[in-house]
Amino acid sequence: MSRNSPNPRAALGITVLVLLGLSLAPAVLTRWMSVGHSPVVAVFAPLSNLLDRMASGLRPPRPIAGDDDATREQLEASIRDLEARLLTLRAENRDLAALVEQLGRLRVATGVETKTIPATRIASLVDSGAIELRPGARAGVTVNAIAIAPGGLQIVGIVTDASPMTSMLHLLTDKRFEPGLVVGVVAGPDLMIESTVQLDRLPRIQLEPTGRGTLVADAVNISIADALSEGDTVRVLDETWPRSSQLLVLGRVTRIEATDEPLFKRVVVTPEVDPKRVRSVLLRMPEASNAEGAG
Amino acid sequence: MNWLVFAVLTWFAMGLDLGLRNVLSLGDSAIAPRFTVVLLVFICIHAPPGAMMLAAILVGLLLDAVSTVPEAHTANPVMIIGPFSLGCMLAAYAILTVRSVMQRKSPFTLAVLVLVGSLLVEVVRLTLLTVRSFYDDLALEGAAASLGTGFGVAVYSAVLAVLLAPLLGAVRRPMRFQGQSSIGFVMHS
Repeated sequence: MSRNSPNPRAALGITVLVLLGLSLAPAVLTRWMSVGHSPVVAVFAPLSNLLDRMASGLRPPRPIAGDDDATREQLEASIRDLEARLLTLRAENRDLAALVEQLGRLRVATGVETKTIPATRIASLVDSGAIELRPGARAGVTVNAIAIAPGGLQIVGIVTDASPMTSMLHLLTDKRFEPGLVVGVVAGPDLMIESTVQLDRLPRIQLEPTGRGTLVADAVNISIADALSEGDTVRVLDETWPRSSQLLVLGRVTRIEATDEPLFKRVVVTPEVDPKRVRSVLLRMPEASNAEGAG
Repeated sequence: MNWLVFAVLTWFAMGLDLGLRNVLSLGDSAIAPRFTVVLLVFICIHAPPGAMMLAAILVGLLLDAVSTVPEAHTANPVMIIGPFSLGCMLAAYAILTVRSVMQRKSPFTLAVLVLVGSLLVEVVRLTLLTVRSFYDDLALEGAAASLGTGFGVAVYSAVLAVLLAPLLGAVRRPMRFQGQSSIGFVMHS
């Protein structure tokens, strides 16, 4: 061995230390080395690919266990089911995002800070045009809280009584609904409302429940009625109603009918959900610091 | 040792490893023989110490380079240099210490040493990867399952070694194991 040749033991020791360091170094430090994987594999590819092709003929890919027609159909059905659920979840996600955006805009437009409590129907009181909800006052529910349908801004009714455990919700479409009359503004088909909309310029109609699941404005001036279209949304803008209800949705214009009076038309508004059939609602009420302008 | 023949044989062995892994694997398991380890053990039995250690490092580096470990969350493959290399070096050193008392030309010697060498390679590799997985995001099987697979690979490789022994015996002469190492790397023992 020549005098200038490296000390083999030292070289071996250094090699072991370097390899040990590389073995135990975190991936963030050694990730760059992965670029060498493909070129090294490519060196052996001519032989390995040839052998792999030949071998695949000797041992064809084995189907997964139980891969008969029934299992395949079952798996395909599962895939379709998962795809359907994915689409549903995406739609729900889109709706929720829209709702959050609407609620945010509503807060800006009305300047009212509200809190929301989810409530579940526990009984239908058909005779009194109301439904019984849980929870009640103990959970923070107050009289005049506005119930809206989940996933939207549609008003379902107003809480008229709040006992410790339950609360009574009077339905919007019931004829005995108090306050029976409500002034709404017709804000076009878009459910979104911009904070820059000048509310006092929107056409106003006075609605009352018909008892048949709709609200009606019997005598709408023809100049206002002609500005309306079927499908327009009608929102609360009534100082006699609780502040937390302002700009919430009463429904959509479904019919504009002529009346005996040529200067007036009849406008029928239908809620987007049937208040009698909702199983759960969101109760909106002002934050404790806000004074409620209940009607 | 003739390094050109070594290079050709290593290329051939690695090609067999990569190309025949699917067809030779036992069922759906990852148990498949390692031709490269059989070749390395064959070299370790016959080559001078320095050459065998260098061969172990080269074969180990190649095994590290073609093997990747997936990250647990992203499943991105990570190439880790070292585990196979260190395992091969330890296996080479172990064979160096016992080969003088073994019948080098016997196929069963090759098989036994392949079994021992493969086990050492697998144990070193699994130990290093397990240690690394404590702080790195690596997707590893459980230790028992990995050791079971490693043992299966070792046994399978040993069986293969018995079959390959005549072929490897034929390349002993072109390998010129007793000749001067062409790169002058000599290990003091």
